[in-house]
Amino acid sequence: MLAVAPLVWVGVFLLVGSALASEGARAIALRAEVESIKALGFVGCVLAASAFERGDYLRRAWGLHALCFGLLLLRDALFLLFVSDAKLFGLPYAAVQAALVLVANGGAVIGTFMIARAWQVAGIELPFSRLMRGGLIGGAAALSLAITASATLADLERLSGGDVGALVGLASDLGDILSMTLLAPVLLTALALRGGRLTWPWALLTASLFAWLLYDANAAFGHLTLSASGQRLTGEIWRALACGYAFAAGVAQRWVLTEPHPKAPALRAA
Amino acid sequence: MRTSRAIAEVMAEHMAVYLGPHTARVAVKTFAQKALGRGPETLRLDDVPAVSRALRPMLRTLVGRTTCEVILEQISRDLEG
Repeated sequence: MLAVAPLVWVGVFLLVGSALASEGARAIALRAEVESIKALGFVGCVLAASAFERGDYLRRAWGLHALCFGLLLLRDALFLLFVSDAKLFGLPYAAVQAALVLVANGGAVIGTFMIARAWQVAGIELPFSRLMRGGLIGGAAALSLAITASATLADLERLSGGDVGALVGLASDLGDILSMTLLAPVLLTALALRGGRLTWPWALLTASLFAWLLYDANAAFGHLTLSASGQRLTGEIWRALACGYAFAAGVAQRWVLTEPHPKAPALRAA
Repeated sequence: MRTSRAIAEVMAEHMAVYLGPHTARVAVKTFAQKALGRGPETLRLDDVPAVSRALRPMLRTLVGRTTCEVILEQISRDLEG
């Protein structure tokens, strides 16, 4: 059910979008969809974090993911309230936006890093040989660099030209490179835990990270095969799936911890 | 009286609900070795507290303190019963 929910969300989003006649109505619907799915991502991560007790390792990890969604929602709210050249607390809006995105991405990267190395902290074994695991992580790193290289270089160029707004893109690029690299250990942990309840949060988080990877791939290469509007729509689909699967992973994490532990006879029957 | 194999199986069975059967079995083996310096096939009932203590940090990391204690308590109850 949780694995299908983000796909249903995207289906509804596409149906509503195609039913709206005017460009203005479609833009409003799109903005509402983007903010709603980010809010769901935030809710999912808060649900996961609050299922743990204070001091628990994964509470901090999920809390950092929630912080990321929360700050991105705050950034969007500020964007709706202020025009892009306005000042906020005496600072240019672009600088405030850059700071929010930087901290949000930092939170997401550290949170994903913590979830990705939970197996090591716990002392469980991952599947496959050390060499194969290294290859998988190296492959994910190479893929993420290939996807984000052009955007990162363009943002660096803009920044060196004095464009502070480029910091937003740069923070996002760096966060994407690191998060996408962590996709491999998160997937390996999901495989190690297969057959158990814990496989669900890790598998759904893998789906979320994979959707972010495709979101960035679309941003980098979508123009080669798609029209501008097609690329935008495709990007929104991947973003919705990424946030939707983060929500699903958070709900699954909470379910793992709140579903009662089966009693001995039930275990025998299972 | 439970055999060593049955003790290891009960422990793995309870953890498998969360960790899956493979990782649960490997965890019993790894942490029995770590706590006692012996394999799961040698486990006796009086070894269970030591193995549970060794398993606690792993379970706390993955399922948090509350669920960890529920699992360990159920293991203990199941082995006593």
